[in-house]
Amino acid sequence: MQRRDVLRLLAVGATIPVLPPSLLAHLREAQEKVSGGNYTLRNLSPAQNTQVAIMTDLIIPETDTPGAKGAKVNEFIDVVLTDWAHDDERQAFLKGLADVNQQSKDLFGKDFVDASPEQQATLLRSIDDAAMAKHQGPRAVRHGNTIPTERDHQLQGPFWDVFKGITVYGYYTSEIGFSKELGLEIMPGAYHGCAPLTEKKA
Amino acid sequence: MPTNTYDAIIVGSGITGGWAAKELTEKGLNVLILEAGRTIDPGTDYVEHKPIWELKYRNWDSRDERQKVQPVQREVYYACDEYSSKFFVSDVENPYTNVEGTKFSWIRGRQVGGKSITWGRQSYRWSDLDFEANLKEGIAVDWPVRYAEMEPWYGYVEDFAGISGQAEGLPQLPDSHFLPPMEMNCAEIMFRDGLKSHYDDRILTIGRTAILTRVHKGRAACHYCGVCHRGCITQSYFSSLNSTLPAALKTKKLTIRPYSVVQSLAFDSKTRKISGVHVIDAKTKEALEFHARIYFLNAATLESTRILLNSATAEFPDGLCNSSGELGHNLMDHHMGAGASAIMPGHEDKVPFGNRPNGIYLPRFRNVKVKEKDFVRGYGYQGGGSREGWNRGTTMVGIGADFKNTLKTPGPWRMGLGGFGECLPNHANSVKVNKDKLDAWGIPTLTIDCKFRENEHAMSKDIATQAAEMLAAAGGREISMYRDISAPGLGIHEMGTARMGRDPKTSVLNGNNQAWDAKNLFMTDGASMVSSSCVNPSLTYMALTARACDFAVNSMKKNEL
Repeated sequence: MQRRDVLRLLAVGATIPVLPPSLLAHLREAQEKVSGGNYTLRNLSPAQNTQVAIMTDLIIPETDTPGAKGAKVNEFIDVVLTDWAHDDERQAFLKGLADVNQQSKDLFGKDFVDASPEQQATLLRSIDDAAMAKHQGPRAVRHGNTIPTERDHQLQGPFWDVFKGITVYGYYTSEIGFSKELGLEIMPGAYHGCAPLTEKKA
Repeated sequence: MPTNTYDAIIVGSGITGGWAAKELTEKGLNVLILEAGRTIDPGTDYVEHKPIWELKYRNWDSRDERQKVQPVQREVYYACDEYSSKFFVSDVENPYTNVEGTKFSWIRGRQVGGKSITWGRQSYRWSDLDFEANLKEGIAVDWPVRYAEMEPWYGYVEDFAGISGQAEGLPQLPDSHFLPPMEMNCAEIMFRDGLKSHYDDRILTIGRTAILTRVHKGRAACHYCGVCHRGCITQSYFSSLNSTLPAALKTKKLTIRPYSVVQSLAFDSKTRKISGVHVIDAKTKEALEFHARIYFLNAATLESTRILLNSATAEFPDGLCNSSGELGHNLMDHHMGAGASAIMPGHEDKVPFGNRPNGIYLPRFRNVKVKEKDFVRGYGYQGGGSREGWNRGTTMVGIGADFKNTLKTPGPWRMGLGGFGECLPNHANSVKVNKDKLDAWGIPTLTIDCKFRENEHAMSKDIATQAAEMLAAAGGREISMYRDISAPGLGIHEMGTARMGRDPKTSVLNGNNQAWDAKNLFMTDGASMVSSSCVNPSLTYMALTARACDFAVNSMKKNEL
């Protein structure tokens, strides 16, 4: 069965009495794709999800285009934590969230999600300054023929590096980040080596 | 005509198999292609326009599954990924062994179209600097051809394939029949001009690539989506699937049989000819046999050689057509992993538009006119300029609207150069059959013993330092140099193991890619190469294939085959 057939069935509210497991999985996947706001969290608790959504949106907020929350980066994070992460990576990620929450309690006497937006931003900025300092200065650049060092290791390393990394990646690989924010197209149709920056980029 | 009998049988449907099919069918032969893998349906298998947000892991891939099934193939990180790992073999089904202390990364694509679906498309003519090198230096054996003999065949295959590029008039890198070149970008132009004013022996040219920059032979011009290795629904780059196989099928003289794993060839010791092909149907495991007047082995370098090694007879105990003892020896691959990158200041109001599936080429300058001290042969650079993108956000200080707005604007221009170096033919770099390890179809596998040696290592060092020096001379800043020589195989330019030559005592094939020991057998893939040059080999495979097909059909007409 093609995905569009599954979607059509879903659209007309069809109920199919006996479904093989493979088709059920297919349906679930298709459901996730069409359901938009109805993504069902599989790993993050509602509280963790709220915290993740706020944190990603503080990194990449809504401007004239939607931010990380609008691009549902939290859902990508949930998918990765559920099906991609190894146990130790998942635990480290969740512990990192808890640590941020604990810092909020220590500083502001409240859970992170209950702190004011100013307090939340202040906390994340201080974490970011400390974590990003080590990356500044001339960077070693990867040679085009070698495997990127980050491949398979996207969830490894200090929590903030991981969190910021997956937020940036999740946002700019979303349709909102790619098409709306950056104005990119999958089929530009032409190549110009030195186009004016104001021209629509591709 | 008896069942399963054809005028010609071609083993493999990649770059050279596709060319053999086109040439032989257009010359009137009934041809069978035996392809080990599945059929590719461009409508469903090509994924070049699938948005990354439709991938479950946004191209991070199912890493555990991939690592289990394709640990070797996924070393080609940019292509064996969540999009197009399907164009590479399963390492579980297709095992091989490296001799202890060595590592050869054997990259394979088993499907109709072979590796021509995912190839890098860079297309360059070789020159007499390459064809004469072995003779002049007393290394290995002499090539049985020279550029003058190859020149018309290069032109012939270029006119069909469509090669875009810029004529430069260099003797060491002869010009092709070009379609219009792609544009260089700001960083590349700055580097090119800097190079010109500091060196009189070095130039930068746009990559010469088998991608159409205008409509050609009924195929559309490139639309610059930039990810050719995922397929191309507009057929704008050359692959056997996009170009040669459709031409061959048009003659109605071609049969393609997928899922046909060739186990061995049968040799008739009376007629001194190949008498058949033993095939295992990949799906049913049924043993089948096919026959023809002539046979073309185009299964890709090591697979072609493996078939001969697995076809041993009492007369040829070490592999069919191996009276020279050279079958399986002299394995080569270009060494990579050395180069440099720099920021090219300025031009911040300019940005590339579109995704150019091509880079620049800096042709060989070492040992062209003057003999270097440390090594023989030479290298060329590939690479290109770009502006840093949103990726830099993962390590950039800041959060919030300012951070987001900064990433909306590209970062500085960067220029990168990565070397591709010639690898000397060495008898000790070799493969042999391992009967103790069988593939998924019960066929003995290969044990590979291959490593880069002193000449390659000395050259690699020079590649890195020269790249950094040139970038500095051209105004580059924050130069970062790297020298981490690749594992052989990873260049995916594997060559040799059934070399051509002038003497049956020291070579497997003659000057027409015809086996000395079985005159109705031709091998025109990378296995036939006598040296490796430093430039990409596929265009030369194409030219050798078309030339060998012409010779074979003429010989048939003269009743010599």
